[in-house]
Amino acid sequence: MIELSNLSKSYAQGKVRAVDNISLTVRPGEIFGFLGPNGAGKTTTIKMIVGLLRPDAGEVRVAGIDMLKDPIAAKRRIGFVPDQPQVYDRLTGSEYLNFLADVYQVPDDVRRERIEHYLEIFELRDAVGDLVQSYSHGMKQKLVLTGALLHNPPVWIMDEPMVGLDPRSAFLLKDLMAEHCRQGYTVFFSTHILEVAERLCDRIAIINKGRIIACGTLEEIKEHREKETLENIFLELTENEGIPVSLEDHLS
Amino acid sequence: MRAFLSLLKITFRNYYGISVMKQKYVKEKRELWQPILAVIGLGFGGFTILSLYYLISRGLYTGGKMLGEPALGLEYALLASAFLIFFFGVSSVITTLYFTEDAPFLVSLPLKPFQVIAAKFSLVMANQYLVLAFLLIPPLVIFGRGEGLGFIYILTAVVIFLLFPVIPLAPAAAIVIPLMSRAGSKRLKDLFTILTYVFMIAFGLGLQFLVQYLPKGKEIASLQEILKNHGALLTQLGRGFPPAVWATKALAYAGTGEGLLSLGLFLVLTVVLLALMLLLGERFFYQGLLKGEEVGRLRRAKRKVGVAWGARSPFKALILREHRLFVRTPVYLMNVLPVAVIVPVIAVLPLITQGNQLPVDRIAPFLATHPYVKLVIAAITTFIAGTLPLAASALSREGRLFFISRLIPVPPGDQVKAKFWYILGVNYLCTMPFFVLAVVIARLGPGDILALFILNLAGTAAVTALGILIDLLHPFFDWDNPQRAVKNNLNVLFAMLATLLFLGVFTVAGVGLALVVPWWSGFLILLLLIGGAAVGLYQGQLVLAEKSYRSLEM
Repeated sequence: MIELSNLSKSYAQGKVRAVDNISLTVRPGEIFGFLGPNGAGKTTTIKMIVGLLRPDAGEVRVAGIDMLKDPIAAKRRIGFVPDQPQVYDRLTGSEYLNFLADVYQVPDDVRRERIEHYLEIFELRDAVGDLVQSYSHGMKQKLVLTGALLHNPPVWIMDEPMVGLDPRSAFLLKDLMAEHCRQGYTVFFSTHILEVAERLCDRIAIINKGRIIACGTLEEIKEHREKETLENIFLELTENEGIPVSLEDHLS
Repeated sequence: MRAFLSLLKITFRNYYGISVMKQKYVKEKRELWQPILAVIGLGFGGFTILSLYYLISRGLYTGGKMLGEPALGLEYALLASAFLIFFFGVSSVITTLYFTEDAPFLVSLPLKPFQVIAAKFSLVMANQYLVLAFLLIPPLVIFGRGEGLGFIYILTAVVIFLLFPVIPLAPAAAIVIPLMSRAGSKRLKDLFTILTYVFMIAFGLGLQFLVQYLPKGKEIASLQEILKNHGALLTQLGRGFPPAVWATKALAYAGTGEGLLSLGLFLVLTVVLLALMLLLGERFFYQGLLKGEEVGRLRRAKRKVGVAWGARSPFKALILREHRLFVRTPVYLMNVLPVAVIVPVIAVLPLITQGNQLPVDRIAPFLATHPYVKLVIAAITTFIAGTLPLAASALSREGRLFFISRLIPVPPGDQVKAKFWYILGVNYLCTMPFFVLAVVIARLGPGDILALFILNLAGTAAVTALGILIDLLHPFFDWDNPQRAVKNNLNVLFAMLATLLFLGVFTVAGVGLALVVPWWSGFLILLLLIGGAAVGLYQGQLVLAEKSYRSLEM
């Protein structure tokens, strides 16, 4: 469902390499966790997948469609939740959802059913007629989540989706992710919460300094490593990156 | 003190994007044409208006001198500045204190409310200096030179100039801060914004009325006449606002005991008003900031809303988004609709103020013998459309939410099409009051009305596409309140200049045609040319949209 081939992206006229020649395949029916420390290149990678950033090199395919060659068809298959729930403040929740349903061309009866369903789940029914400017951070996040699922996208991509959600909503979100995968669809999300990745993901990739340093199922990543938890492996993999070998020896 | 200075520095850097500009223009040396063009555009516009104002100021000075009160013009300038800054300042104070993105962040810092208020207030003051420079520097220079005043006068003038915004702004802030603590919501800000604009319109019309009242070619003499007749009344008005009198006396008697006493009074009042504002800020500022959230939730708890879900085409959905965001953002609305009212009023004023001096009855016969002059109507309507800021901020107004437009599965060309047709509709409607008035006054026949109606549409379409093209080339997304999306957006100025250029080219074409072909043939050729330009610009924006939407990374 998502294929990244030799993807690269630099900033500051090539001085900062945010994503450095990464390749990755996410299969249908898979929940895929994308981990990495701050500034590792997670958001840049996600923005390239959803078409917000243009790669310097490489290819992004979503549901078999090349994002660079046919961005509109690719975008139609994506539901995206950014790291900040930014919504038009001067629209009401219902106007925002209707707008998204219109541009994704969700039929009348289907949208009605889906919107009602998610509003019920996220307890937004009473607020949906209000202007978004009166929503809390968590409510905006839930509105954005609803908007991303309205067209039942084959590929659901989220950047730090748990941030700002209360425990109940976070639990519901995990449930929705599992349900989405049961339909044979793909869920791809970045997170800092390693427990969530450990418990929820079928496969995981760890990115650091723009490069994928580990990818596979939890068991595959744990193989040949003495550490037992994902947290320890994550720390081991990301901690010493960039420290010269001689200095590392000296420190040890 | 160190914390405050640091806060002050960061507030200015953040608001004016100084670090961004430094990075872009100094370090990376990218897009240097922008500041150069801005300086040229602002310099040209500023010089033109300032020259006119300089003439008026000279008239006031001479008039005052004849009455034995040479500082009268200075006093009026100070008085006008105080009122203008007060009314425009209210909206600026609310926006800067309560609706910038850093406000909630600043609350979390170990800073006292008065420190935050002081830093923000300094920013509001700095924003007023440009207006103040325009209003005060010409009369100050004219008076200083006219009276042959020296160093102490210059020093006093600098002190008064720098501190003057405090006197009108501190009371504005002192009114706003307790009010916002009571009803801290965006609705109140919207209300203030609307009231400010209504005042601005009234002021603009008043000024226009005054200018129309002056006989052409005898403006300065007429101003002197007004001073002679109404001088006492205006002076009385000034007495009602003593700081203007103190500032005037401090300047007029600079270096004397009376001058020092007046300067002292002015300084004491400045300090007292500042202290009052800071005290009120310390007491109420954070209350107002924190109250906005509560208001929204309280209202929600009280009612349940029935919501209608219905499907539309993506094109209609995009048009509706444009419309809702436009009508629900007072700053956008008030930058557009008043133009539709002001221009016809300005056109009618000469008829009212100059009565039978303007031969309305002679217009129709004149147009019958000089049919090409009818094109002036279409030129003015096109100019009105070109000065409206909607097209030149078509993308910019989306700000940081532009990423949504890049995410949705609608081709950029279609998105820009929706913007174009919506903005064309608004722009065209705004030209209608003047158009209707003009054709009624000129007593045009149905054929001429239809012809100009179509020409107006073509011209409006062309300048609308031109504005969108300019914004597509370099949209301004980095704003934190809608006022900046329009007011700080140079694209609006560029679009206006481009419209003038467009009209200049077609005026030359029109004059050329008038010399060689009869009216209807000339009209058709001109319509074809302008229509062709509109179609070309329309297609150009669609092509550019595909490129821009992909390259605009954020």
